[in-house]
Amino acid sequence: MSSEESRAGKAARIRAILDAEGEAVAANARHLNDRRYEAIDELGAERYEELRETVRGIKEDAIDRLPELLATVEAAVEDNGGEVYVADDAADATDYIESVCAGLDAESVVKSKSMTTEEIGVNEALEEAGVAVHETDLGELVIQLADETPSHLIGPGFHKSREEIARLFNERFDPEEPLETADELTAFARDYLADRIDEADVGMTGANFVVAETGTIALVTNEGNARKVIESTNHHVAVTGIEKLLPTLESLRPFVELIGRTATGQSAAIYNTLVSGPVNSPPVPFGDPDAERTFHLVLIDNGRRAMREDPDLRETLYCIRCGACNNSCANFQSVGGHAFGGETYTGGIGTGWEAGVHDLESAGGMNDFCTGCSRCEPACPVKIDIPWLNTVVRDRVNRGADPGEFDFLVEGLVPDDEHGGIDRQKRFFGNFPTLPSRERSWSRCSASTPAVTCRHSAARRSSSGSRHAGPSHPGSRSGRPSSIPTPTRTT
Amino acid sequence: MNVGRGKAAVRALEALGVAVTVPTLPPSGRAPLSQGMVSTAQERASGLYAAVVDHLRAGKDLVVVEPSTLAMFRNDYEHLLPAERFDSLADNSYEVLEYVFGLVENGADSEVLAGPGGDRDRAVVYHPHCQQRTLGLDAHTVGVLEALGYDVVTSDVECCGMAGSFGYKSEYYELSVDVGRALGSQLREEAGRRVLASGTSCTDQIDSLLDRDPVHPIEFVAPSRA
Amino acid sequence: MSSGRSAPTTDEVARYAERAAAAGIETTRTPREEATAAIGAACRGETVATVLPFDVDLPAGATVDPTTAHLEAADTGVTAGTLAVAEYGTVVVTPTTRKEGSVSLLPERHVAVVRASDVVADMLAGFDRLGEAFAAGRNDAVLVTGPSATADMGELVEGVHGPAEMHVVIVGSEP
Repeated sequence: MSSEESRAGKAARIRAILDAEGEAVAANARHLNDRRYEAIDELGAERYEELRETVRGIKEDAIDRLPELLATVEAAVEDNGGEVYVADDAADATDYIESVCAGLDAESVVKSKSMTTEEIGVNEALEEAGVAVHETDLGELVIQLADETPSHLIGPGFHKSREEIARLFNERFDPEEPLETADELTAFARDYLADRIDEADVGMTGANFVVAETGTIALVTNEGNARKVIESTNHHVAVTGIEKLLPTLESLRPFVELIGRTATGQSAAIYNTLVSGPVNSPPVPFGDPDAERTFHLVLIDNGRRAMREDPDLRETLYCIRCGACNNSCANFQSVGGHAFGGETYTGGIGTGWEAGVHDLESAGGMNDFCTGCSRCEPACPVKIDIPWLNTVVRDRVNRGADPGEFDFLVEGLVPDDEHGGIDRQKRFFGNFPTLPSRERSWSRCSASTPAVTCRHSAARRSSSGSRHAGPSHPGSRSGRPSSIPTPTRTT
Repeated sequence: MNVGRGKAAVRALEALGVAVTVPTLPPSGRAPLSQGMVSTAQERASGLYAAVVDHLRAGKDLVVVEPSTLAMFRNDYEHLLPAERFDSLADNSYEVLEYVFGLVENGADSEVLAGPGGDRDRAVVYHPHCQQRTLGLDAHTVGVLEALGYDVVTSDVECCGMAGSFGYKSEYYELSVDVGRALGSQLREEAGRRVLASGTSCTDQIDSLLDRDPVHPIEFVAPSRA
Repeated sequence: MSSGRSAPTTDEVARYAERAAAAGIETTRTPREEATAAIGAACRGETVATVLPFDVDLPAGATVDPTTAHLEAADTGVTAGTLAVAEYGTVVVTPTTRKEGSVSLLPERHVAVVRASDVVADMLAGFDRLGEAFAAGRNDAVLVTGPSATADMGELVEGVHGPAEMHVVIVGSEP
């Protein structure tokens, strides 16, 4: 959504999305959110926090050492017989991928799900170059057929109900028996894709993680389509962001333990596939055993190096794209990623990604859906301060506007420090507590409830728990308090 | 301004043996922060710190009624204040029911607070404020209520939908109502229970959605005015 | 806990069976002498298989080193599991030139045969073993924790691009 929309326009757009997509998105996101809580309960709050600390430390270190890890992975992949290409931006990446396909005389590519390939627009680029692209992830297939953008980080078609998917398939394919049930739709899709997979020249995947030391990519899926794409073609192109690099195989382990839980509430994803390409698995259909197999790891910059230099946006690079922030967000649950989303990325962390890989306008158009409620904070496995990212981006958007454009509603009454171009409505709400009372026509004002102080000597919290004493609590029951204040009373 | 809550907090704490001062404090900076006005929020944070520093140095605890304000002290101020100032404020500030919980756990007589009985409901449904839940502090409120003998169920939504000024903005009003629907239906299912809510925004949302009259837990358990 | 080289406690294998069941994986425990029969009992219909890299024979009807036609007509694929993680119910398949990758993926049912001594307690131990394998040059692995599934069509459907049924036979363990 453009940040230039009028309020009425924005309200109308939101209303339309709520009507068309709200029910499906809410059902999917809330279901995954509930399952996330269950999976974390099963792990136990303490173990969950330990794992979070561990993965956070690994990501901080990995992003810190990124240039070194890039060198390591290049050597390791080449040692395995593959190739690494580090692409500066989207065009650089798609040019390279096109040239790989051209060099192989490839006519078609089968893909498993990759948000990074959405980000760089590789499907469109290949189609323009005359290479057919077939998505094998069912959610991606749905949006490919519907020609829509993803509405969620891990479930691109979450905005569509089964009935809508059935209608889409029946319209597009006109099968003899109209498709209705989830089983029928899945079976149809699998058959539809089977020939395309068999005939494909190139298999393209993303990579959830990349182990630098061994030149291994890790693919986290439930369907098995990433495996199928790799097992069915001689040439594998893996596309992912440079921020996915982890140093060693053992550093991957805690991510495998967490990502299934925070993404979908599974203790582990059904397939954690480790591929140190080119693989020596004979591709199906079995053909010439001496046929050359190639592996191309395309690592995308596209703004990530700059994000790494940006003290506030840097944290975005720790993201493992699990979608927990999407699912735990009340606004996202209601409206989904077609409102709370930019060109590619959705939900709370989407703001950071859009600001980093696309532009501030795209990030600004979505980020007001973040209200700072903070429910995504304990949900994020890598402890990213997502509300802060959204605040920082909002600040940058405020500062970006042309001061000449705005009337100041409260010019002269506003004792703030802000750049003149800030959105008028924001400036009003932001200064609300300091306005004289005649300007405030309603009594509620959360910032001015008096705080109360008490005289105690040496009041201390009894536990060493963090101030953010919040492993996620089960929804309907508060757990036992994890820290107990010990005020001592003077007599 | 929710004066009732503040007065109830004072009554409750005094009844539990605490000497209470109620200073007039400047705004915490929540409002500008929510609008992305980081410089202004930083100014407010410094101003707030300056206004409480003497109290903190005198060894007083800072007890806060509004959860979004507490979240500033315990969470957001990390980005707005130098580390030692943030630490001293965060380490010494408490949500009001968290504080009451600590007092009771450490021997204060909970009988001075209002338990169920007479015409007071025993069954309550509690909607914790989102930021309070993130700080893990909903558990203390439930703990106090249960210690007093109440039968407590807690709502199971991530946010009520009001979220400060969000629900007051015309372009987001319908979304805010849609978000609130989930909470609304949960509270409707608990029609026989008294509704308690810690946040001012949440109270407004519940009021407008449901025609129920939510009350802050501290107002609910404070001893009645003498 | 167990280094993985010595026999794991009965507890770990029992734990594996329990966690695997939670993940939708059926398990059979069999002493070594009865392993071939147990594997046969776990198969359905036409069976393709890869040679097990330990001293257990495949059932007589299984086609080893299948052609494409065999593979596509098969109902069951049998491969070794190189290790199993008790805490998760995970079994690890190592694709090699012997076709474990496709034999464990394409048929509707996958039977993985794992030695009890290769059942480790947790992911940490599992990754230790993987690290050893990778250092020795075998650096592809699939950690399988259930039958293939998706919820993209509005509800959970199993057997999407992978097997709809997963069965693990644990050899060298009394039932």
